[in-house]
Amino acid sequence: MLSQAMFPWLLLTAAFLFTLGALGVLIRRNPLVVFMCIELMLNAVNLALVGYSSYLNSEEGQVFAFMVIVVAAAEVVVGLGLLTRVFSIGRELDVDDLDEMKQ
Amino acid sequence: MNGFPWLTAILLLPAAGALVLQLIPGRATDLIKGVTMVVAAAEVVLVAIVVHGVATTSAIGGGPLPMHYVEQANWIPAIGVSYHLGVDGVSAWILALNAGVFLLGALVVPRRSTERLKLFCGLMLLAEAATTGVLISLDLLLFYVFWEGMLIPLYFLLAFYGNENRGRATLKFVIYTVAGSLLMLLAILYLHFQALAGGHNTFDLEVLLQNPLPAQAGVALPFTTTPTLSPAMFAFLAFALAFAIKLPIVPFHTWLPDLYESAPTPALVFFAGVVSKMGAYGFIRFGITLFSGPVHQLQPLLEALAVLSILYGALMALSQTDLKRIVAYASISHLGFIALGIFSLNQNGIDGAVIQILNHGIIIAGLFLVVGVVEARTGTRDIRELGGLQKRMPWLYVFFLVITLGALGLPGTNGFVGEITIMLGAFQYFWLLAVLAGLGVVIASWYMLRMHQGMMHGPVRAVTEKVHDLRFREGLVLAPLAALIILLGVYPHPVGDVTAQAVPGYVTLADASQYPVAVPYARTGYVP
Amino acid sequence: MSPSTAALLAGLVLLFPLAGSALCGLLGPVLGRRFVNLAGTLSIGAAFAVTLVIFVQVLGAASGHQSTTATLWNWLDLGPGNLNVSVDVTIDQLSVLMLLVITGVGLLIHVYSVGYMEHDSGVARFFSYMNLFIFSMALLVLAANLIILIIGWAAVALSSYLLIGFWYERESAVLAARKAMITQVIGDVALVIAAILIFVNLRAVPACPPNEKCAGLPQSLHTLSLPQIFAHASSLGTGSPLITLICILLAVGAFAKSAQFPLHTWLPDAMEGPTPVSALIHAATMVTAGVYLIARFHPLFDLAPIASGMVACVGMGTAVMAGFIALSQVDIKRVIAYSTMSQIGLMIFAVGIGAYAAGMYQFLLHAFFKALLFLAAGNVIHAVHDEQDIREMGGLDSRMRVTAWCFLVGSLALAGFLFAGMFSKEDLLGFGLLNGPGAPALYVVGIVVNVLTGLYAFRLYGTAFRGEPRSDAARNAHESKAVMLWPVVILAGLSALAGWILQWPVAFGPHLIDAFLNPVFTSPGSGPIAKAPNLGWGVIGFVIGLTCSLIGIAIALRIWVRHDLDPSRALARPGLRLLPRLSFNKLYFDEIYDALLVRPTRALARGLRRVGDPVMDSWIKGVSGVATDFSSAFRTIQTGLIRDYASYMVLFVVIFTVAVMLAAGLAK
Repeated sequence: MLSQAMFPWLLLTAAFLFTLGALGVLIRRNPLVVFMCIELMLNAVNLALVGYSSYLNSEEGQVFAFMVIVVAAAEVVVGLGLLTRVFSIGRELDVDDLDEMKQ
Repeated sequence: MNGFPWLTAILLLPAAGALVLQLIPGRATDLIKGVTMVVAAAEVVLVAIVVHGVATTSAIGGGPLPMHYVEQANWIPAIGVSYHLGVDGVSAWILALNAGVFLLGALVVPRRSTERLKLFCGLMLLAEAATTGVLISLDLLLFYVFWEGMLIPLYFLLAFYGNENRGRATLKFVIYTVAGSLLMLLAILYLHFQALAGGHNTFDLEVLLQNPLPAQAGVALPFTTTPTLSPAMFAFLAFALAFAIKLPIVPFHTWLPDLYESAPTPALVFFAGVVSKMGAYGFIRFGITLFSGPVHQLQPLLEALAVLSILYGALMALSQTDLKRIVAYASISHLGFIALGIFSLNQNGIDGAVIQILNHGIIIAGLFLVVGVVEARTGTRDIRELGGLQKRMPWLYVFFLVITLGALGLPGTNGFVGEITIMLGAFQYFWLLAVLAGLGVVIASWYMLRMHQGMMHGPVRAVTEKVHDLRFREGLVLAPLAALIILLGVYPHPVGDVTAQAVPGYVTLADASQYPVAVPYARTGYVP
Repeated sequence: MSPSTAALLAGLVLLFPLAGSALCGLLGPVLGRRFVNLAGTLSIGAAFAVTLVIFVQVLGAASGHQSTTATLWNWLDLGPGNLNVSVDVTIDQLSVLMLLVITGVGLLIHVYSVGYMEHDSGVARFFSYMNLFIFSMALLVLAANLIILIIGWAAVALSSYLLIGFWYERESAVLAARKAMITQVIGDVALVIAAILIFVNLRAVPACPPNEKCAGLPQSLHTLSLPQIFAHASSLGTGSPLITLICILLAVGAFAKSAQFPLHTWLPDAMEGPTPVSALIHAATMVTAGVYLIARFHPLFDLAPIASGMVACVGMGTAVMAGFIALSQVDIKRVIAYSTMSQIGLMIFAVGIGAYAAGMYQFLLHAFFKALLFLAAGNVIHAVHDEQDIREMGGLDSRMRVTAWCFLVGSLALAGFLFAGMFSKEDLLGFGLLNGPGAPALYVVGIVVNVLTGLYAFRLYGTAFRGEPRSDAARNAHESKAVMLWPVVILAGLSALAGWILQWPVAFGPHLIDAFLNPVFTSPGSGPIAKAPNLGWGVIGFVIGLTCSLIGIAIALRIWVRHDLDPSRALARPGLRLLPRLSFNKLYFDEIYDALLVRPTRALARGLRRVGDPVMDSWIKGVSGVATDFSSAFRTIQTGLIRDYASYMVLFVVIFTVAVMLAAGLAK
């Protein structure tokens, strides 16, 4: 059982992690790192969800956290698949280089 | 019968077939085609059993529209959506058309030229599943799901496999149909909430029919005594727009020629033969039954638009030079006949419309198959470049002749059966409509002969110099169509019999005696 | 005759030609010419044999209207009060007479075709179409339901379309076939609308008197069965606008099929088909279907004097018009075609004034001598190597002795001297003395037709057969083979003798046709038929008519055989100068229709193509235009770079969060 006093700190930690992840997504150019940052953001959200779940004494937050974990796993699979494909056709792994979406 | 869920079976079979296809490697094209054809043939057999059952057993249910093979289960009970299936004399033969035309479409899928054959066949099967669902749904939301679901495979079929003009055609098609169906969804929700207010948490057609929309106060337009701008009227207009676009009725038709021009032949056969009939079916099953009041108020307008479609389509067909566009506009003209029959709101008219749905499906599928064959042989669809095919392709000539005669409604072919019944129904509403429709028949003979003779007769031309006659498989596709055109022309009784047992229910629903009739001649015929 | 016998016999008459058609069409190309010749003619022979059996049965039965109706199968049944049709056939004197001509003359023409089509590669197709035609025609005359009659009616149109366009590589044949078909469809539509009018209005009781509300009017019978229609014809009203309209629509159908004004222009063009076709369908049978239709619907026409009068006027008008045009045509087949139109005009006139038996009599004899003329013309065309211009012929009488003699018999029969026409034509004209609108006005026109007929008949004979040959082909012409001669000779015999045997005008000789057919037209429910002239008027009429025919023949012989009379000086006078041009150009009907109907329709269609769809499309252009404008405004920020997109997301999340917080703060 999480103590009431620790809850704000937990939220702050989650916010800090989230911001860290978001900044990483925005700043880093290596797609692998970008992915890791996205994972960081997702886990920050998970932390917040679990925290709230404990704080409000309800299971729903935990259920959602599990969903997020599943979705994140699926996303990584798809994303890494794409990256391997990009790499295998001989492209440099740089998000600023991949602007084909514009077309 | 014996409690076997026949309708679920015919609904799931094509969908299951589409799934099975995905397990086959893409290079095994023969196997892919084989599976598709087996599924299509099995579907034909199942539907034949169902149609036979409809013809030989009496309908179940004391509701306003007695049904056969009813299946009912909760789907989303919270909002009253149910999995309610049923078939009656109106939908039975359209189901048969659906399965039959699909089989023909599957037979003409080219084996080599299509690169992504697996996807193509899978999309076709999904489209068939969706049209089947449209025809057997008795729950409005379920119907809507299939109605929209129909669009998705067709969109991809067109976008992936169409010819060079597909971009524009696809855009038009999507804008039109989405515009129509979104409004229909709103109207369905409106009906639901009205029923909810009356204590029925339902989307079920039968329940909605038993609890018609209350005759609400609305704004009366000048010169009218009844409330014209009522909510019911707007709901009907929303439905009507969706159906009128799909049918299509002039002026909502411009997507059709472009689409037909660019679609690949197998999909086109299915499209023209079946999908365009869904609008007509929707009008019969939902339009005139749920909204008898607005339908009666708008009847003169709807009939006028139907006649406009007949004449406009006929004249446009006369001025085209592209074979596919000629057939497309001819189709609009013929579909105008179907609309004319439906909006007569009497038994002859609606019977004729259902008969014509079946017959026109057969004829138009045949026409597009012939055009497909000729285009594949000669590389052109321009009627000015063609000629003399009769000499080179005598068998094609025979089949094409029969199909042409059906299309121009020659007495003795199936085209005539529907047309005379529809003209009779239209006449019973207002005599001038039948006369104008007759004018359409005359122009039809003109443009059909222009097309037929332009392709077949005259001296052999450069593009037709080296063509060979039909292959066995092509003959196998065209022969049953030609045979049906004659058979249903000399013995339409089985079709009329099944239809006539169901139609009185629709006529009763559509007959809203509380609504004053807008045209003085209505329902009296011509009695000097 | 019991209904089951009738069903069997009628079924056989229909089945044989249909089977012949299928056999020739499907197996003919495989099994070859001999098989086709055999199957094609034997099927018609079998049908003729069955017809003879029927004929004997009908003759042997007691007097009176021997009508037997049988149901073959149920065509469509949409429940009480709605369309229901069964495939009924009826056998009575009228249909038997028609069948005799259709199968009998048809058989002769089929035999002739064996020779005529000897060198044509499409012989299987040809016999298939010809058999189909006989089947359609038999269906038409046997039908006892209006819808089934319309089906036969259309099937006849179809087979004529196929036969006219038989040589499909010729542009002119293709266009002629199309023209014929479209004209026929106009007639079909008229019939369909007439059928609908009958269906809606036919009741079991007499119609309500004019100017009354008729509140308690009973439900209509909702039937299209011909016996029912005839039995209750009076419920459509006597002389009412309704029955007049119905009869006019029926007549329009008849006019389309019988090539009567204003739907006559297809017939001359239809001569593009092979000559036996012209004999079979454009002389002997198909074009007389209109006459049959009006005779069959006599209970209705009896009640509609205005429509009948109109029919009589149109018939006589067409007779004069076609006779006038025939005077200057140069194509041998076209001359005969116009003479057909003219003769059928007389038949239409006869049924229009109620002289149904006389009209059918003319139909019978006309089938003989017109088939004779066409087949003989076919021999000529064969002999001069497909030359059809009579100016390139001449002098054929010494080179084709049998054909020439037969043609002479045919011409005399046509002109109405000694042979067929003298009996049937004078018979029906005699009725014109007392019957018809403004009688005897139309009789006077009729004797003008007599003059014209004599003129063009012997102009044709004189130009083609007499004098000196005017081309090498004509000089080297020789007689045809036996298979092409015997049918001609038989038809010549029939043309020469039938009139003498069957029926004489007035009461001088036998009256077999009247005795055979009049029970049909005087059966219960029919109105009064035309009054026959008494002896005095009859003799006067006959003498005047015959004299006029002889005048025509005599003038023609002087101009075109003895060449001692030159009409060109007379025609050069200012008042008359226009006449030859009008005649030669067929009164410019083709041009007028082209300008009034065809071109405007095409122009309308082209105009719609240019304007219609683009206008109706404009809203979709508007939608896509708005969408494009909207999207181009936002396109600049679509860089395709993930980092940019992520920045936008973060930016909006921040904005959104701040906004929510502010809103929450404000709410407090």
